[in-house]
Amino acid sequence: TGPARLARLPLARVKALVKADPDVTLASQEAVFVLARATELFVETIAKDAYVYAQQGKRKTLQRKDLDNAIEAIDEFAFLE
Amino acid sequence: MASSSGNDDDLTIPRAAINKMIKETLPNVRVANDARELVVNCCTEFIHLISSEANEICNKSEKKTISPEHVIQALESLGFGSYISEVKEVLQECKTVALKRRKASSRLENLGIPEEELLRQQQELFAQ
Repeated sequence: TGPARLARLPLARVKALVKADPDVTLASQEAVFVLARATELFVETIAKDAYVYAQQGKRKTLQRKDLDNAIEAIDEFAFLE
Repeated sequence: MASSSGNDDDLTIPRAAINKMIKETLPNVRVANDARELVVNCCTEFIHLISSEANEICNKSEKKTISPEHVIQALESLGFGSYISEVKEVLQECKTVALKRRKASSRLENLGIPEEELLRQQQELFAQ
């Protein structure tokens, strides 16, 4: 079996979000599973990237502006601007 | 919090799940509430982004159902190629689980023993 992950996204909710797009017709269960995993990785990545800014500011609390900075700085996060 | 009589636009990943993930990623870090809120919303955007792209890829492929491969291609084309190797691991787990299930159910069928008979035999074993 694969590595145990403690936190997982609820698949039903991920599926509901996919279906909320009016253009999407059908997504397979495996597709939803893969997307859920990718989203978990996204959260890990953006949290770590944002934390770099908190560290630069010598803070131990991650603040919203740290996320804003990460979003601005990283190309892949441009869709969040 | 949004009520369950949902408007699709209020759909998000539950805050508790996000909090857990953040905690695992940054174990000794305090995170401001509005930062958490932003992460929740970013997740929603991410899911919409990837699924839209996967949907387009699916349409071009003349298939009707978005497959995991379409999602993987979407990740690649949107700059999230670094997620692909881990994502493929879960896909492998999925397929392994599905394969085991199919094998298990076909083995039972091939025995030709109807379920009631199997249950009866089980009861007898327990009674021993």
